[in-house]
Amino acid sequence: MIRYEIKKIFSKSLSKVSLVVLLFSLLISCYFAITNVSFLDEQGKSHTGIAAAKSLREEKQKWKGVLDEAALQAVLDEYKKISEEYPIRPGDDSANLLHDSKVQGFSEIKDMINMGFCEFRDFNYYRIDSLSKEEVGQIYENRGKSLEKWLNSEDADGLFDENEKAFLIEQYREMKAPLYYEDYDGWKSALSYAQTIIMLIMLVSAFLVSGIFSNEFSWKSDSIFFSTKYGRDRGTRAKIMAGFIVVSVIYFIVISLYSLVVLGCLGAQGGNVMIQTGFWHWKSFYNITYMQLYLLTVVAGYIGTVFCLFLSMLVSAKTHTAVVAVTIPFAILFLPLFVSNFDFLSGILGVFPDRLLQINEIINTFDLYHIGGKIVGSIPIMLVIYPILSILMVPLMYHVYHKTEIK
Amino acid sequence: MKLQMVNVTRKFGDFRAVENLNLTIENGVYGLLGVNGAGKTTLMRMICTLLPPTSGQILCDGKDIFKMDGEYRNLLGYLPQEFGFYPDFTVKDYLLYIASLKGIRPMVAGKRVKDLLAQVGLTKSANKKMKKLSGGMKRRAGIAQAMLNNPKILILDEPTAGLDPTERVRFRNLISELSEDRIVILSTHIVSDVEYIANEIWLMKDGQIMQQGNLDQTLASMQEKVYACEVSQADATKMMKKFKVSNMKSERGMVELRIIAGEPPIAGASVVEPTLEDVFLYYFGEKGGEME
Repeated sequence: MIRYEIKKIFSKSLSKVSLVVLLFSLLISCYFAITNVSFLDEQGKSHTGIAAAKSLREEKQKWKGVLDEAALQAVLDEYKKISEEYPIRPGDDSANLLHDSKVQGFSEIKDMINMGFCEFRDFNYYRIDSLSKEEVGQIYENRGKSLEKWLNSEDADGLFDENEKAFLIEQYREMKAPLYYEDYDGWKSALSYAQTIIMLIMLVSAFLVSGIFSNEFSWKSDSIFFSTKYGRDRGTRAKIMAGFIVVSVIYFIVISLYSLVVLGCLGAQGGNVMIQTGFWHWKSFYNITYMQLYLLTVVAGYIGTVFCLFLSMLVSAKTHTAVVAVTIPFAILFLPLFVSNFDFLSGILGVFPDRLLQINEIINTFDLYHIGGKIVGSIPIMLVIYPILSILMVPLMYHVYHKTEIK
Repeated sequence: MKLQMVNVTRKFGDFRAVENLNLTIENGVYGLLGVNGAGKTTLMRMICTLLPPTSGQILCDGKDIFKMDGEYRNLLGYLPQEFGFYPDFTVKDYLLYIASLKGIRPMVAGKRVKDLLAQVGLTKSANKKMKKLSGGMKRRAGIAQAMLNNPKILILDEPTAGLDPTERVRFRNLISELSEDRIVILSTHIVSDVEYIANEIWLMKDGQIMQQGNLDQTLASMQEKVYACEVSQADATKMMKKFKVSNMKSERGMVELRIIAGEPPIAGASVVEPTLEDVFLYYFGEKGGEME
């Protein structure tokens, strides 16, 4: 029965077009993710592609190791040496590119140092220029202090209560210092476009599964379906299962292909590097590695996709039309853009399902919630709420479709 | 096998599509005749558990069919008026899918599908996509799906609508062939279909059965007689306004009329044997123009 339901889904021309669009999007995403990594040669000329990524990896792996005081001082020394030899000259692009080519092997560590010695809400690209060798070793201590200073400043006034402040400080303290570094460009680049590909999977899958219930009505096959022995029970269950299988298989095939291609081309090393190592996630209070962040992105994306598509299927079962159902994932993705100005909605928007598809971004946000006397970030909450809601939608879908009347 | 309708009423808002219906149905072919909007399809849908009655009960061997749920639907074969299908399924795949919905094991289903395809003359089209079939072939695929589970209750809602005369005769014969040892309820507004194959005829109007019985009883139920007469074209126009005219035929400047009336419409009019079409016109009045 499930086989026939899946066959129904893929027999539609729209489904075939959707799959072609998804395949095309996958290729484009892989291309952008791979070319996201660029290598500057001796002349400061930029190169992208697999060979360029390899050259950059070789440069970065020279700095592989624990970023303790000695390592940070070595970075500082090297940076100052390069800056003297190849100084940055405002307005002189070729000189600046030459400078960048020399520092690209440790650019992430350099940016981390810049972040670590700026005020919490600021960033100064040249902060490293004014740092002394004695200071640079205090970066980890400084990270916590910078947070505390900001939490107690007027800027953060009213944003967090005392317990929340204590939670954030504790999370910062729990980060194991010194951090370990090695090239993680493959993971970073894969993460950059994972969000795009997950959203595309969800939107394309919506075209596939949103008609799973309503097509019986548009094809006028509903009367026969519901008058059979198992139409209202096993037939309905087969539709739910078919939707789940189609979404899951497409999701994991596309994500696996994407991950294999991007990590295969850019390298999968650096998965054990903490996300705080570098510029993008230095302030995150989630103490996880890049590989864990990638897995979290994939799992959360899957949960979000299944939730949105189950909701779409539920609407299809209730309204008997795919027109409204297919718009559900779009509404979930774009609604927060229109209502984000309403402050009273900020709590809800912090755990709105679109966020499950944007883990790489919300890993940096300080959305905190009180659950049973404990303080937790938005990600763990969403990872619990949405699977539960998705599971609850299964009997609801079944009930709604099972009780259908043909008038 | 006995189906009973006990005080069955179905309302849509204030409109009563079926009103206080009481029927007992045993094995045989039942022809449900009525004009469009008489409540035939609503009644069929209730019998198929697609729509619950607003009040009253439908019983199968004494048990409520809605409580019997799948057990009842296992006895049921249904060909709806608007027969939808999965356009990109082949005929064979379509029947195998419906067989799985009917709980027929794959091994048995394969054999059953093969036999039914032969019976409805679709063996050569088994691998054709449903969307490529002609109207008649689709209807035959429809009857095949209804027969997959060898149903004890076969419900056919307007099964010959839209078919050409040859297909209609063929389809009618097929229904007669399949009607052994089961309840067949045939809803139609095509009088001749019922006349040929129904053992019992129900005339339905405004949600109620106005007359029920076999063909002879139905013909005898008319309180008026059927007269045949030949008049001029001008007189024919006048008489059509005055009487229920079940047929008119122009020939050599004159018009032969078939009139239903309590007494002879004109001097010289002869009494003729009534047909089911005459009865239909008698009960459904001016809407008799919709007859074939």
